[in-house]
Amino acid sequence: MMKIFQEDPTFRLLNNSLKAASLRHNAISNNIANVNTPNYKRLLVSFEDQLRNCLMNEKSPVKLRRTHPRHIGSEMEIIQPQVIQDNSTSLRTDGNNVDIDMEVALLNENTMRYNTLAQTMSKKMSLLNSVIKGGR
Amino acid sequence: MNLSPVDGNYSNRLLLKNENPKNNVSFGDLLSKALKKTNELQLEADEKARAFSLGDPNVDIADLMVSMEKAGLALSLTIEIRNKLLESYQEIMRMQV
Amino acid sequence: MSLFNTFKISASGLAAERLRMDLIADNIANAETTRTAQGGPYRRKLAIFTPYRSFENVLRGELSLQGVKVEKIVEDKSPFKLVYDPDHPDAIPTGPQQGYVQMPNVNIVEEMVDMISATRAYEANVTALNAAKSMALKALEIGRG
Repeated sequence: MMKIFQEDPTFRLLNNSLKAASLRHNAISNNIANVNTPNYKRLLVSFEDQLRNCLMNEKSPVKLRRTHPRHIGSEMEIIQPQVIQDNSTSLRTDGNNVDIDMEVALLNENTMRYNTLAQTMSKKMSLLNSVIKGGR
Repeated sequence: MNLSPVDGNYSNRLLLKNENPKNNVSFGDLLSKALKKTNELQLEADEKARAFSLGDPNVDIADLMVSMEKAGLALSLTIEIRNKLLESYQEIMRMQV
Repeated sequence: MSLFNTFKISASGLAAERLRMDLIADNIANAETTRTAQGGPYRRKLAIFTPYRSFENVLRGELSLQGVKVEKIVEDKSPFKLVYDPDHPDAIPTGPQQGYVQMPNVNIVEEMVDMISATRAYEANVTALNAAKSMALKALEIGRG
């Protein structure tokens, strides 16, 4: 019965997505802080794409047996948010490949994503609370 | 849709199933399991709160809030279970024998 | 990684860009200074930025997420401008450059462009800081019911 807290896939997915978004904010902030640093290469965080590929792709390297095709199970133990360096060539003379407009756009998107996830988590908790208290 | 005829064998099978000791879970067991899990969640929330207070960079705000909320909900759930058990007990006690 | 770390990162960005603005202001103010305390005309100053890496990071070979650091402030080694002005008190008296004045190696247009770039970067850092704040506040709401 307590399994809803420990093993509910939605909880874990929300939790991990929140962590990924937080890490991504670190990467974006670092890119913005270093927008004028010579030879700096921008950083990004990969998580949602990895997870989605893993769930949908037949040929993915991580494919775990599930009783129902829509269960998100132990993929979440294996797929962790990762910080990756973007080594694409820059269009600037100082070797820096940060595009500040792109970073600010990503910043807005990521912030929205984080806030949505936090709100969803909050609502889910509140629903559970209602269920437990029985409407009192 | 396959409709199997209702027969006497069905009720017999039910009885057999209930006599299986593995399926006999008492309310006491449920309650103690709930308590144990609640305690674990409380400890986990305490640990995260402690790490956060000490400035551990690995514990994020969202992490901490989720842990604390989980612990709180588990506690509420346990309390409700206990209340319901008490109610049922009192109900039974009130029955005229 | 926690959101608190991003406050540090954005703060480092703000500090670095602010320093850069100070140097640019200095350069512009001294664009015509032909006589400094060290003798000779004013030399353009610039800041060297590097990504901040703590010793721990370097040891572990990790990708560093700690913002930017101003390593040092150096003087631009490019040559001074020569302007012909024989009546100037600092004009060179003799030799092949007689009558020329050595002016600071500050290009006003370049400084203005740098200033715009530094301002935009500063504003972007402020946006990042505010975003982190809003996210942290939103996370606090998780427990509020």
